[in-house]
Amino acid sequence: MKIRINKKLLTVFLTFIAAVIVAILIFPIYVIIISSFSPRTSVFQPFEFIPRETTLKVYSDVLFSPTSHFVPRLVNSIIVSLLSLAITLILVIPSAYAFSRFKFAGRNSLLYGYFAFNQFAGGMGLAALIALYAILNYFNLLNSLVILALIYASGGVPFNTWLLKTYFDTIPKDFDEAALVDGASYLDVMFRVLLPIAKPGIATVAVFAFMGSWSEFIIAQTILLSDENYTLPLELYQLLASPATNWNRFAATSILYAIPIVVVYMLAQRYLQAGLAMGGVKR
Amino acid sequence: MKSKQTKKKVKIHGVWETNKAYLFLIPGLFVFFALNLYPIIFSIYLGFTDAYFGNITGKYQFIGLKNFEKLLISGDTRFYYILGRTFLFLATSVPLKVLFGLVLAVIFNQQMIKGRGVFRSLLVLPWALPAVLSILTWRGLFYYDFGAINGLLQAIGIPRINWLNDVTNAFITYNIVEVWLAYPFMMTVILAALQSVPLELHDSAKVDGASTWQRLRYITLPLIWRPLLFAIVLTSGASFQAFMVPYLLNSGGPANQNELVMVWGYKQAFQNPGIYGSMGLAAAFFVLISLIILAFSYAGLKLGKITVE
Amino acid sequence: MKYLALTKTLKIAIIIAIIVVAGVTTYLLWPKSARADVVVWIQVLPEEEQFIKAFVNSSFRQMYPNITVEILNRADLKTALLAALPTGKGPDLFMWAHDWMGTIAEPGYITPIDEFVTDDLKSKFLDAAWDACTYNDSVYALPYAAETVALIYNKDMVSEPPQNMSQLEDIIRDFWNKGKYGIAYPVDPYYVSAWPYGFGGYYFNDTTKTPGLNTTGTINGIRYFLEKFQPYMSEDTGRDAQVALFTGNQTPFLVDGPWGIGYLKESNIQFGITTLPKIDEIDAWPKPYTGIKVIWMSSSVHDKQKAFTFMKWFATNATFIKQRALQFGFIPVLKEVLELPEIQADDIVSTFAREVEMGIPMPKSSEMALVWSPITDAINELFLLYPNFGDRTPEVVLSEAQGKALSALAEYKG
Repeated sequence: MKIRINKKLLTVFLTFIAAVIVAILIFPIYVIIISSFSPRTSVFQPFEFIPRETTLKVYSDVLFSPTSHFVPRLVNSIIVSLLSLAITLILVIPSAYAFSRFKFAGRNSLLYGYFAFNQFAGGMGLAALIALYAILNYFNLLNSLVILALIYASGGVPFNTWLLKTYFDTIPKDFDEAALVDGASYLDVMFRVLLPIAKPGIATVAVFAFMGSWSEFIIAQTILLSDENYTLPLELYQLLASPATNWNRFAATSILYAIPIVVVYMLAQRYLQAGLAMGGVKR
Repeated sequence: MKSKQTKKKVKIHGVWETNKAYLFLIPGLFVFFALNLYPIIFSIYLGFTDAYFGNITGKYQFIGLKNFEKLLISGDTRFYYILGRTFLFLATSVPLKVLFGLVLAVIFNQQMIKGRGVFRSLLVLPWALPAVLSILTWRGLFYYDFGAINGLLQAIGIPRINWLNDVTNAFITYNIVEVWLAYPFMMTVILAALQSVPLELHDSAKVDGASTWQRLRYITLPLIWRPLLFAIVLTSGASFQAFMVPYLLNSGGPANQNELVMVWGYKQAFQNPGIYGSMGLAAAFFVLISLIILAFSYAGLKLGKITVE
Repeated sequence: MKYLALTKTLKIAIIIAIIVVAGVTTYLLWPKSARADVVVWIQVLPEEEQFIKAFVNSSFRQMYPNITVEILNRADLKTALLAALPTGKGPDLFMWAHDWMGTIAEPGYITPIDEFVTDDLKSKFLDAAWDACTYNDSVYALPYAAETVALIYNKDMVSEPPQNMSQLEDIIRDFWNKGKYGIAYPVDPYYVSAWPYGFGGYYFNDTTKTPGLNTTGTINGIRYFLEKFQPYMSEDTGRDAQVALFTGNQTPFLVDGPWGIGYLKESNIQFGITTLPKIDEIDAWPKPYTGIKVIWMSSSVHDKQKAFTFMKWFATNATFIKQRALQFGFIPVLKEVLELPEIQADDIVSTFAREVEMGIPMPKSSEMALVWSPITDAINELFLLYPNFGDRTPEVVLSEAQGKALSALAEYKG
């Protein structure tokens, strides 16, 4: 009896502590949410914990007003991000598998190469943008959502390959060998043995790939040339076009913009489950 | 059947085939090279030229290492002070980020906490929201006159602090905001790594009488240190390249005293594309920074022997 | 087993390759929609974008039905242009403040429109505005609006707007003694420019291409600004914070431009506006920097005639200009609009217009870009130090700034 009561108390207590921690950490987000319901556009007024005036007008403006292009750009962003995600997975899973399980000529140099690229990619400066614009212009590939998705996916190949490789590395090779002994092909091993175990890793890559595409602004704004093709970050940054930022609208747009990411994250959560019990292999 | 089995066995113990590996790699490699390499190589090349917005279409010239010389030796020698400041930022923010991410991941991995999934999804919000918004909001919280933080301090009787216009305090705000923005990333990576540890390893250890601490040391840590190290290296890169945090909070500290490297670079070269040689300078700066990050990350990885297996 | 595995993988690879190639070919061969006759790039807030497009559809289309126009609102126009102009495949027209003139005219990224310019056209605009559109004796753009900063006051706190600096000072001190701040004034060289220029100094001389950061006028002007305002201001010097102080009833005055009027109208403040008060000590008026908003013809223009037709319409259609002024606070530079009774009656627009007349257009040279940074640092440092400069007096700090500007200029002369 005693043990059971203690456990229950412990659960409640820990959950409470956790809730407090979360509350403190997302306080700034609370501030943002309040601003999004504020009728005032100015940036900061004396801070009110419980605001006196709230309105839904801002959200309705963002979603329905003719001055807003939120919905079509949301759709475009979804298309681009999902496409980029798909392409990323197709490209990255086999690559990570190869790096993790095989030894071959050039493996280390390529691995370091990917890694190096990642560090260089940090500052896609003006020069890189000009080069990108020129090259796409030459092949008449400007203003395309598909190309954008491809660029995002390709840009993520080094990072995501590395990431997935490190997750694959944590899976003992014994599993592979067992399957191979039973007559599986490498493809089988990849799909039927590693992927199910590496779900957390794949989920993480999926989240990063999606997020990377969802929030990318510079390249999108450079190569997309028509209103129909604009993605969501462009809608967001457009609100910063003048020193007089429409703060409540910016906040509301940002909240709506963040929701899909949170949704994707929650979906990925399903793969981040403890208790991946596997039968069969003891060290 | 028997012959097939022995064939496989021989393969396993020998060197695995290479051509299959290449097949797996090539799609990724190809796409990457096609779309990303040219812009990057072009940028690097520009670092050795006197390019600017006016001659970028053709007449710029190769000038060797002059840009680098200008940046490192003959130009504004504040560069080294700023580099030092940035490394200081690295030294403070990275451990904080790792600690935060680790602690949060461990806490929110505990089965005893109800609603973990919801909590975790909420915790990822700092990452999900556009950084501009978050940083500007934090700036508002730090305002001397009516920021919420000073408001809170006043309410409990502590005198208001000048956060943004004081060198040390501003540095602290950079750390706070950077940690706030980055902990979801750390937490996610570590969480996934924690989840990949097969539960039965923990279970069998518990059966063998291992304590929580022992399990952490001998089971968890060895299995998660790779993704963890990877995340640490990346997050160090992010700290080093921090631009929006210092720039948006107070434009590089009171009177530029807290200008981190990227803010300095931006102000030096990126703002003046129309000035002769500025794009070359900007590209050279970009190369320099990348090399520094590369060197450190490489060292970090080598220390962790992360690619040996 | 080996053979089978290889073939399976290979099969999959081949299938994927075929799909990719098919997709790419189809895409490349797919007929693209025709390009509009005139493509215009702008960077404005959503409300303005909608306004412009609606007006173009109703008015321009009626007048010129055979010219198709596409207006594209870019989130970061400057970067987009920097990436596109060098490749020669940018828009036909684009809009920005005039100070970009030197940077884009020199490398030939814009096209002169001299062939379309008539004396009649020129006379429609204010001289200063027209001047902002010329470079090296050629005309490259048409002006459509101007902006500068003026003095905004809270009508509930200040009954009579101050006519000169001593009156302003009295009110400021009065409120400071009552526990409020005296004035909200964003601290940056653009906002502060009124004072150095008012005292006869300058940041940069467009003709001689030299900076004047430590000329007597500049030093005196900045010193004056510090003396009159710094002691009564908040520590948070950014524009956001200062504006919030004003809308939060914490100060009677705010110095800001037309871009901020939107907020103010929405806040609960009853505000009035007046020109920056006269500097009694030297019997001169402050001369703030003005920015002229212009529309350029890029070098990648497809059809010059059609593009110019749109340009001209955009800058001279009186109804359009008037509406923009009344709705968005754009200060007209079209003479006929400035003389309209509605405009004259509008306090805000007419006050800003008067301030524009008293102000100085920003320099056009590309070299100016090198001056902003040193002067910003100098002003910020002095503001923080005041009044205890120690050995970092305005003379010292500004001379340093001048030195920095000069060496940057020397380096970049190429």
